Amino acid sequence: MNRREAAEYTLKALKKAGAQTASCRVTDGYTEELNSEAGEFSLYRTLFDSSLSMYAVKDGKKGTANLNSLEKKDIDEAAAGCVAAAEAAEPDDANDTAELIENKRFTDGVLEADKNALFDGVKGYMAELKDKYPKINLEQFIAKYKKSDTVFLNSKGVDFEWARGNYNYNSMFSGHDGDKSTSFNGYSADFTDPRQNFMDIGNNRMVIEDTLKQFDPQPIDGKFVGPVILSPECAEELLFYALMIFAGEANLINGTSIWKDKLNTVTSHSSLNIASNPRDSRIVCGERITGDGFEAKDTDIIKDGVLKSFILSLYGSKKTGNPRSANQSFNLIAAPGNKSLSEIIAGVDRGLLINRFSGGVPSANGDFSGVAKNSFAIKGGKMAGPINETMISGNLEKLLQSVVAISKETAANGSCVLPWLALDGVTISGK
Amino acid sequence: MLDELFMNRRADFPAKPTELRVQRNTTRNAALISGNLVSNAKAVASGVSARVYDRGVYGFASGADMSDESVKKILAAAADNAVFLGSRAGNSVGDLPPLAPGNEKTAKIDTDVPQKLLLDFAKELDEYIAGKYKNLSGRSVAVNCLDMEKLFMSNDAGGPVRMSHSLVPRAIIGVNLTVNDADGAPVSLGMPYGGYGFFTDLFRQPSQLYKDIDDQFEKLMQKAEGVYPEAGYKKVILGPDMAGILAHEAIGHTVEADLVLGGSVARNYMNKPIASELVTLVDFAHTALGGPVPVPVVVDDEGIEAKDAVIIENGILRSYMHNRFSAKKMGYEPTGNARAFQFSDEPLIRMRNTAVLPGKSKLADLIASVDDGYYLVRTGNGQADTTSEFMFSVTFGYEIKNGKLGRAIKDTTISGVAFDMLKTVDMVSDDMVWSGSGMCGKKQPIPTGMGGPAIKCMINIGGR
Repeated sequence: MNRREAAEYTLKALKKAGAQTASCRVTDGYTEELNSEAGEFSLYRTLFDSSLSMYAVKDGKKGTANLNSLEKKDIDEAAAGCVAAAEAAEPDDANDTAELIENKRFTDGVLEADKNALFDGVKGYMAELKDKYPKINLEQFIAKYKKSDTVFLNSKGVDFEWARGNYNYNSMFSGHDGDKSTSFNGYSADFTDPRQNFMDIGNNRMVIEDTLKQFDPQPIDGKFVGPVILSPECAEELLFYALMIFAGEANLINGTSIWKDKLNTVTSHSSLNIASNPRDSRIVCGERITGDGFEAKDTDIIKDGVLKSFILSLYGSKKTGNPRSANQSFNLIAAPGNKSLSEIIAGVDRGLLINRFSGGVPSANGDFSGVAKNSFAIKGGKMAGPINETMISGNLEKLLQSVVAISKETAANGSCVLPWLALDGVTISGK
Repeated sequence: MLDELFMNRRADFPAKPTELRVQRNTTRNAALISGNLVSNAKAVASGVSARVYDRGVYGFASGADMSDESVKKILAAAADNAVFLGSRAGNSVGDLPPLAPGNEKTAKIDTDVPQKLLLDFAKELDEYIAGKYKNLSGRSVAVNCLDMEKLFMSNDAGGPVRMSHSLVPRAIIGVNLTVNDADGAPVSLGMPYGGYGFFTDLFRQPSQLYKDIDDQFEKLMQKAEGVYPEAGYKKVILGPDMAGILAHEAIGHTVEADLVLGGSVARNYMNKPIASELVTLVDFAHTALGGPVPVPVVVDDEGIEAKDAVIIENGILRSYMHNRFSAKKMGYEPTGNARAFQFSDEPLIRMRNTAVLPGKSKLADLIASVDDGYYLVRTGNGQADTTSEFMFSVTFGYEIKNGKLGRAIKDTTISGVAFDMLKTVDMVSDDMVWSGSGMCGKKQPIPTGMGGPAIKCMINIGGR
C-alpha cells in the first residue's frame, strides 16, 4: 500500500478493532548521507524507511503503536494490539485527537537530493579546513539529505499531507598543535542549498576560529559569582532545559513545575523575548503538523519577560487546564538586543564567555551545574584566554531574571535563531 | 526463515566484502506521571541493511521491506554507494582483517509481552507509592522494554561465510519521586531498576521493588534536607555507579579507536602510565569475573568474535577498542566492538560492558580515611571530551566529615581530566556493582553496561 492507502486502512482497522477516536501518521523517509572520520571519507549511506504511528481511544482509554511496515497484515496486528493496549489502560477524559479546522497540503524545502553537490560541499569544507585552518583536526563530519512525505489522518476528519526535504550537517573537530590539543567542538546546521559554502552556514566559521584560540587553557583561579555570556549554541541548550523543566508537559502534569501557576505573569527579565516559530523563514522545514494533529503555528513563549505559553499537547492542555501550545517544535527565536558582542564583553569586569555547556539535566527547581567547555575568561572587559576544568552553577529561573545584555548579532542554524545572552549570578569555580 | 533469506541472497552479494544484517527492535513502554497514563505504546522497527567495502570506504543501504526483490536492491544500492565514494575518495587502507567462519545462534524466544502486564505492573507500583508516601509533590513510573534481535551474514569477499544470530533483551523500570523542600522547591530522585533480561524474567511482581522504593524515598527525604556541596577541588569517594560512568565516559570514549584516529588524547599514551597502579579497566564482551554482564556481545555486527579489551592494566594504557577498519589502519587485532542500534544504522565502535575492576580495600575504610570530602553515590548522566575532560551529574551523595558520612547533598556535577584524575586514586574497594540501564549516545544510541567498585580520588565538584 502507499502511505495514503495505509493511513486510511489504519483508521479503518482501528475502528474495526473498537476504537472510537483514532489517528495515524504515515511517513515515507529517504536519506542520502555522507560520512567522514578523522578527515577522510569513510561511508556513503542510502536509507529507505516507512513509519506508521497509530493512536486509539476506546471508552476514554488510550493506546499507541508504531511500526515501519505498511503491509495490511502488520497494520491489522498493530491496530489490534493498539486497541488491546487501550483496553488495558485507565479511562482519562484528556485522551483526544485534534478537531478538524482546515485540511491542508504542505511542501517545504527541496524535494530532490543532489548527491554530487552534497559530496562537493563536504569535499570543499574539508579542503578549506586543511588549507586555511591546518591546526583543526576534523574528527567527524556527517552531511545528509533527508526527505520525508507524511500523511496525517484522524477520525474527526483531519487530513494533512506534508512533503519536505533539506540538507543537514554535523561537524565535530578539535585543535591540534604538536602535543597540544583543544577540547572537541562542533557545529550542526540545517539548510536547503547544498551548493553554498558549508563553512559559512550559521556560526560555523566563528566556532572553528574560536577553537584555534583554545590551546593552553587554564582553570579559573578560585571561586566567584559573576556574569556569563552564553553563545547562541550554548543559549539554545540552556533555554531548552529551562523551557522543558518550567514550561514542559511532563513537569506541568506532575505538578513539579515552578512556573505552573505563572502563565501571563512575569517570570523573566523584561528584555527577554523568546518565541517558538517553526514557520519563521530562517527555520528550515520547521514543524507543520503537531503530534496530535493540529497545524503548527508560531507562538511567543516569553514576551517582555512575561510567560505567554506553556509547551503543551492537547492531552497536556486538558490535564492541566492551560491552553494548548501552537507548536511543540522548540524552534526558538530570541529577539536581538541593542549591543554588539564586543560591547557586551567590554562591560564584563570578571566573568566567562561560554561556548558550550557540559552538564547534568538541571533539577526541577532549576538548579544546574556543569563544565564550561570551549570557553574563555573575561577580565576587565577583555578576553583573557581559554579556560578548562572550570565549573559553573546556578539556577535557571534566576538566570532568566538576570539578563545583563542581549547581542545585536544573532546566529541562525536552521533550527533556532539566537543572540549571545549575558546573564548574571553564576557561581564560577576553578580547580 | 531468516537463514533462508540470507542463503537465498548469497548469489546477489557483490564480489567485494559484503555484510547483510536483518534486525528487529521491539520496544514497549508504559509511563505514569502522578497516576496519569502518558505513554502506552508498542513499537516495532525491522528491516535489512547491507554494507559493502571498496577501496578503503564503505557503501551502505537499508530498507524496511525484506522481500527478495528489496534485499537485492539494497545490496545493489550499497555496492553502488561504495563505488560512488571509493571512486572519488578511496584510500590505501586495503583489505580488512579476515573473519573466521562460524554460525553462532541465540535461542529464539518469544519476546512479546502483553501490554496489560506492563500497565498493571506500573499501576500497582504507582498505587503503592501514592498510598504510602502522601507528602510527595510528584511521581512517575516508567516501564521500558527493548529487545534487539539481529541476524548477520558476511561473505568476506567470497571467502568463508560468517553468520550469527543474537537476541539481547532489556527491561527497565524508572521511578522518579519528588518532594518539596523546606523552601517549597521541588527536589527529585530517580532510580532505574532492572537491566538485561525479559520483563517477565526480571519483574515477577511489583512487591519485589517495594523495599528498593522505600530506600529511594528515604534517600529523597535525606536529599530534601540536604546541603549544596561546597564548590571546589575535593577528596571524594565515587560509588560503583559513579565509577562505572567514569570508566565509560571519561576513559572509554577516549580509547574508542575511531576517536583515537580523530585525535583523542589517548593516542599519545599507549603503554604509558595514565592512572594509579590500583586502576585496571576492562571493556568486557560477554562475561566478566565469572559472571554475566548487562549487555553480552558474542559476535559483533561486523562478524568479529567479541573479546575483552583490557584498556588499563595496573595503571598502564594497554588497548583501544576496535572495529575491523581501525584495527587494520592502526595495526591491531579487532576487538569486536562494532555495534549498530537499528537495522538502518551502520556499526560503530561502541563500548559493551566497561568497568573498573575491584581492588582490596573495604568501602568502610575508604570512608573512614576521608576527613573532609564527599561520597558520591548516584549519577544521572555524563559527558566526556576527547581530551578526557569529563562531567558527570551527581543525583545523590553525602558529605564526609572526619571519616563519617554526614548530610546528604543536593544535585551537583563533578568534573576533571580523567588521565590526571585517575593518578589520584589511592584506594579501591573490593566489591563490584554493574549498572545495566545505560544508553550511550554517539551518532546512534546503544545500550551499554558499566560497573565498578568504589574508588577514592580527587575531583572538581560544582556547588555553591
